[in-house]
Amino acid sequence: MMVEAMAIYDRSIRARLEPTHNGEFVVINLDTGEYEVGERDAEVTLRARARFPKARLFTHRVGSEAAYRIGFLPKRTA
Amino acid sequence: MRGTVSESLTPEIGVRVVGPVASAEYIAAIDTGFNGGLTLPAAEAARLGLESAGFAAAQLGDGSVVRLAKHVGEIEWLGARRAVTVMACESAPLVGMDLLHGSALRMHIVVGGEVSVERAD
Repeated sequence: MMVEAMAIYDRSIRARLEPTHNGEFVVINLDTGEYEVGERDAEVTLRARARFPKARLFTHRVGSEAAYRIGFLPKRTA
Repeated sequence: MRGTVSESLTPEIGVRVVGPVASAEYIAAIDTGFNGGLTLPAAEAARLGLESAGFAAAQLGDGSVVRLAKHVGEIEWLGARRAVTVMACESAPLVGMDLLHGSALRMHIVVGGEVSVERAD
């Protein structure tokens, strides 16, 4: 399901959000491709749950490999 | 909010998490390497009845990426109750930077040292 989720992000959402919204949370309705985006995880998640109450949801962080990091910091590229 | 640095030099703070079914208090580690809200073991998220918010990927210390279930609940934080995202993760509970956002974190990094989280606005 992760592969499917990232495919939806790559195909329909990435170009719209990167780089302007880099670092923000995007919560995606996997059934329709609609999404909510914003800076604070809890706020975006609650908006997405209210808007898509029965949908399968996937959270990603715009411009990052994963929504969260736990004990990992990507190396600086510049 | 006040906490203590543990014997393993982990900054710890007590948090109360509120779910639809139950509430519970945890001693959580403040993890500046975690950029989410809160983690709890999956069994605890279930016990509190935390509502599902789908799933997300997390990148771990070895660079691997894992899929974690995501939930929403409420937490008593800086004198108020607020919404919090909770990732199901089998570590001890972690408080992350998204929950700390907007606050000032101070710690005296010795065993038994004081940890404080205060509003910074």
